[in-house]
Amino acid sequence: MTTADTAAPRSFNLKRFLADQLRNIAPVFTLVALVVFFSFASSSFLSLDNMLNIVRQLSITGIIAVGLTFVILTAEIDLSVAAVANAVGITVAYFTIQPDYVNIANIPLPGWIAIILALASALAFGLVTAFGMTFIGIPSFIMTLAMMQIANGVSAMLVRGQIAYQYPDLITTLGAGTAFTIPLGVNAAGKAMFIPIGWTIIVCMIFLLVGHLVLTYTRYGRYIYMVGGNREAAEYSGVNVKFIIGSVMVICAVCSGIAGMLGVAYFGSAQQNQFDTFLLDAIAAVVVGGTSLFGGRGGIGNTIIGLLVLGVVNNGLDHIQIDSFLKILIRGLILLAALIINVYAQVLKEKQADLD
Amino acid sequence: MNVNGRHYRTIWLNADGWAGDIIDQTKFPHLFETVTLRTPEDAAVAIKDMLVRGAPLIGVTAAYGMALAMRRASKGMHMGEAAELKGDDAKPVVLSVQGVSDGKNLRDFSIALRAGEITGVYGFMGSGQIELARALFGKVALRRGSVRLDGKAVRFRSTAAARAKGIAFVPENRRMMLFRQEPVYKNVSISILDRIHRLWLKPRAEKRITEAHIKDLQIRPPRTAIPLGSLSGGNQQKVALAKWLTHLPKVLILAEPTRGMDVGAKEDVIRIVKSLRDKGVAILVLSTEPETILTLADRVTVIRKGTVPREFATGHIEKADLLAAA
Repeated sequence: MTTADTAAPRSFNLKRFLADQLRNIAPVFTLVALVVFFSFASSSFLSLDNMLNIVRQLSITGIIAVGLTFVILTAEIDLSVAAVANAVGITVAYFTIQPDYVNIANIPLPGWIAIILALASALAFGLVTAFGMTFIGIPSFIMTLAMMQIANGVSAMLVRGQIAYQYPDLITTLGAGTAFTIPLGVNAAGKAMFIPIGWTIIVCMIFLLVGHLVLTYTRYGRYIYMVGGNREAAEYSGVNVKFIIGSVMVICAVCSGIAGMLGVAYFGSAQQNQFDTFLLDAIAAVVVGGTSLFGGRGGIGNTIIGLLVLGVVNNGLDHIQIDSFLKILIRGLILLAALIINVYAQVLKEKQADLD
Repeated sequence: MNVNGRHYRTIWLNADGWAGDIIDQTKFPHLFETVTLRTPEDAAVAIKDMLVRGAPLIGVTAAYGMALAMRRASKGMHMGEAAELKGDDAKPVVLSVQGVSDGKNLRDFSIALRAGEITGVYGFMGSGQIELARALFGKVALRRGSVRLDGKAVRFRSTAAARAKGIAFVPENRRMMLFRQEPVYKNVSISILDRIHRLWLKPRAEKRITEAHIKDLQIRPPRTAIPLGSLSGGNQQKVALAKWLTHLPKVLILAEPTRGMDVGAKEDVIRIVKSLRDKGVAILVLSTEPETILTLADRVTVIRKGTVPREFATGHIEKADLLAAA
């Protein structure tokens, strides 16, 4: 008889718990530490106004990060999110009538058609990526790198170095409009104070919520985690792995496209390369939040924390006296630290599994 | 004592060498001691003595014919040196494979799997067994030949398609189909989630189903929520089987179903497979070990270089017959 047959009943084990939860604990701890630090370092950081500012700045990145969470959970990566967002944002402007001074040979269409065409283009980007990865077998890293270039090419072809300013009404509302205001009473000067809540925040929250529900409570969500956890085992269990991988790439492209449409309205202009920083931000948010780069661990909850960490860093660094070039370096270092924790959490977890 | 990455306090070896696949006796001669036994009482005394001494790893070599005593004494088991085959051509063919080739390891291979029969495919490593199992489960494509399920021609483009049509497969390495870091119940339910609910997860139903399997298959420890990796190899193999047992498949393909397992689990798996056969499942057992084939199979097909040199349907068959044909 082997001893392994008689495993002892398990009691609570702190070491096991920490090994399990490092990826969830570390980001929350980081967030709290950063908020405390910036609150002391800057008098203007900790205000309701600024907190809402952080959330507002995060909402476009947040929509992209939802799609990216799906992708990273399957142990793939999408490097084309920002380029796709840009191309789709430009597409929706391309099909909208522009002011006289905009020199783009565009095709004005009714707003809802423009939106449908833009969504279709997002879908098309996703489907091409999915096809390349599942049918041809191109690794996601290199496939989405190509798609990034293609989407950038589409953007360039459509605007030809110009800038577009008009979008369908629905897009302008969702991207730049105010959903409702929170009254804050009257200030010392007798003026009514209120805080506007933009539609982008609402849309982002809906995406996060739906993403969470899909990942946690649906059969499809379970498949995503299982494919990410062990792709071969998922396939030998009769899961259609190609469909799961392909579909998360499509979901990610559509999320990016919607973020792109709201983004151009949020910025007030549609031009080339305006989303470039969103690629790193979205990936960083997912990874800093603790979703495993090796797939199968993490989720939208992690992504929310990751987004907040990122938002607090970006915003907080603006509130303290610091060399603006140093900020870029600091962001890089924070990402590196998150990567180390991410990989280390995986190693710990596997070690724990081997001990069992 | 660490063997193949697992911890063993004691390994019993008997005359049939059923643990020979766990450890190569010739490579670790210092770990083995030989005791010659004449009667069942001898065996009991010898084993008790070794347990008392706390010997780390014990080899017991008994004369052939002592197998029964050894089994009683050490819960070992007698694996087949010979078998009486009971192939019955009256039973309906469920899966018929005609002249299939994969362009590499399979050449013009044919076999018919019948309801309520275990068909063994014996061959040396690299003879095409692995490719055959994967092709039938839709993992790899076939170039030529036809596969008919219940008389209808089928061609599976994915493992999901094969599963939907009632084909189940347990690969030779259980790690290939198990999620070590996930709880036991998620491992069991992954293959039947769509039957529980098309859209939503029902964790309570998953756990209830898993509990039933744990009871049926005597999986230890009997808990649904612990990570699968904390189970012993034999119990992991039972979980791999449990994945396919909630809704009985039409065809169950098992590659090396008992390789590297401890004795108790090995006996359990054999019992489970035979009970599935009795429920009418067409079972295909692929193995490079003649003992496994002879213990389980009702009829045997030998595979050599991807093709069939010999089939045995009825009558007495010995290990030597298989080795000679392969």
